[in-house]
Amino acid sequence: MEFDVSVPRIEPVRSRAELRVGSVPTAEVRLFGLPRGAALLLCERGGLDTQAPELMNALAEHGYESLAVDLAELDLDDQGLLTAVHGLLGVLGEQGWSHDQIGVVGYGLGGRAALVAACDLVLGATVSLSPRAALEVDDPLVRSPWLAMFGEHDPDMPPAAVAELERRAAPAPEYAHLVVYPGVGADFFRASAGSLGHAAAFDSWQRVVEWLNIRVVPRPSPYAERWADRLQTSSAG
Amino acid sequence: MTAPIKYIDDDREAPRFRVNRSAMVDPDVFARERDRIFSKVWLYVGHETELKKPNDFKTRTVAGRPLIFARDKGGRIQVWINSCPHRGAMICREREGNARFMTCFYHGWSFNTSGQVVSIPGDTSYGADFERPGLTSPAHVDSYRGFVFISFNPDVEPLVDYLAEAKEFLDLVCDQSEVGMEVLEGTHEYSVKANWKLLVENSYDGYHAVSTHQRYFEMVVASGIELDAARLGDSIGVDLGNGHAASVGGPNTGGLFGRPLSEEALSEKSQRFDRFRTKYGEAWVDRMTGARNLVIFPNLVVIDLVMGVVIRKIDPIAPDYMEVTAWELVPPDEGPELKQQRLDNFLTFWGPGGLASPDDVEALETCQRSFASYRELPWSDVSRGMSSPVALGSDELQMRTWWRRWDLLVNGVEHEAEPHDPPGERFRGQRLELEAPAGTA
Ligand code: FES
Ligand SMILES: [Fe+2]
Repeated sequence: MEFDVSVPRIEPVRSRAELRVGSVPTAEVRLFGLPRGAALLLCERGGLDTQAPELMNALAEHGYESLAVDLAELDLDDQGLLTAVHGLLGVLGEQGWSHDQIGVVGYGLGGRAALVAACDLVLGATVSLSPRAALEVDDPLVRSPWLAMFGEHDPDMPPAAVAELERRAAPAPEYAHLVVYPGVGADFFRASAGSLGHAAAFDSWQRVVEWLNIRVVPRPSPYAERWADRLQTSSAG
Repeated sequence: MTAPIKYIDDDREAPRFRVNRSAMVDPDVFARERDRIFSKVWLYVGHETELKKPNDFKTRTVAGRPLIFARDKGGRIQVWINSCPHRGAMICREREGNARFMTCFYHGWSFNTSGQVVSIPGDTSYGADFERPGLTSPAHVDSYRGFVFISFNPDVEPLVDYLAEAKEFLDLVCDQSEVGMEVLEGTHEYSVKANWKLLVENSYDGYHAVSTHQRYFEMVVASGIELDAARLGDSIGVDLGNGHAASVGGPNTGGLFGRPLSEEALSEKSQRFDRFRTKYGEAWVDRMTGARNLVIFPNLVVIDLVMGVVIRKIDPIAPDYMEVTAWELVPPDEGPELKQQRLDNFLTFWGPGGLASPDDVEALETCQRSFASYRELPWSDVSRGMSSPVALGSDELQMRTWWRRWDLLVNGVEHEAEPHDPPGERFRGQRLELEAPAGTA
């Protein structure tokens, strides 16, 4: 996705998170006023430098604070990925974000972590872009709405494997939607000069934002909170 | 002062039943129907299985009102008027999808699938004690075995009462799956340049099949089916109360109209029905194997020719124009062979590209064109079978039943029900199980 130069750029604050599975580098963007929601960005390997700043700024344009992390340094199995996501949700929780106010967006290995989290947790929304070896995840019976996107030429996930994954996800209690971009590989989400690559990068980012916007519970304004309290007391009374 | 127009000539002496064709062209009649039928009775909106996951939604129009038909976060079926309580814009402009929140594109108010407003941009300008309006629902929403109905009339009778004996015919359809009948993805949508009541009549008109659909039957015969005239004629017409009626085939008439099933499919089918026999009893399953064309007043059609159940919703748009939406209801527990043949038969017969539906559309459109002469030729005749002890499926009792209800609601004219002998035993067998079927509302 291309960055719009007319919008002021926020430099993410780099730090580390000490998780039960180990210490991982993070980047963070906090917003003033009333942010719409929070995003947990699970980058591809090395992505904190390459992809995170752009993505976090693009999320901020839509009102999302974000916490980005690179899990690749730790060699984690699915249980480890899940423990890591739990820890990171805890970090966001300390900033007042409840699970349904958070969207988890993961790339590559992070995409796999997003899927594992979607199966285990009830989150606002989850997205996986080119999730690594997604077919090997036991039962993709997602409990959080899950969007997964793939490139047609991804050797790890050919279209037949995506169809198989879709079939296996069908009985899930929550809605899952899988998309395959034609003529592109696993890195379809990176800006590219070719028309199919450009279309896939543009469209997939659009889908990420829309997926979050129609599912992540917005943080209520003070007046909205007051209204909710009134509704509750009137229905209780 | 001119005498009020007589729309229905229900002459029991002659006997003769006629419908005044002005009912098909007059804009005043059309407006009265909107008011006195569509704002008063129960209307079909959709099937529960169309909404599989929490926050699935479809947008539809019922009685001219744009609606959102949704399953909320907690899995409950909800129906919302698709208009923003702020200043009216359509909240959801997609035909279908999955969304927990819908944001009005005009000023950005956002609502959840349970109808509550969740955010209002710049809400401080409204003051702290502003009453936040949520989405509005029709006066009543209820369902019977997966069929979801709404009514805009706060004083409408309960749905189960409204459905009267039509319930039993929905049961005959719904019992065909052990896991629950399911509406398939995808819809047939078409329009007809004719008054909507003509398609109601056509939907359980057993009289027209052989002449209108000659081409279709030639194809069926060519495919190796022997069309047995006696079995084709084994059907009756029944009045189910409240304007609902059906034409109903005897045992084993359901498959008559399709191409033959393969050996494999036949054996799977007989095994399925054997299981049903143990569960529901012979008499009920004999009825299940018959064909049935049901119209639930005013505009819901369920046609079960066993080769495929079609659910059809007829929407009046103008006196001479209607829109039709049709879905296929299937037992999802069928094997691939049976499913494939069912789908094939369904598509061959029905839908805008089928071998039968376009014939019907053509017939109805010629009726409507010729109704330009409704002053010169004011009456259509609907008398067939009036004097028979038992009305046959190829008679016109079904239509008369519907029209009498129509005349009562639209014009306040009461007609007695038509006296006929009760249908034979074969058409009255009851299901063994006495407890209420699952999913009964
Ligand atoms: S009309 Fe919907 S927000 Fe104003
Ligand atoms: Fe027909």
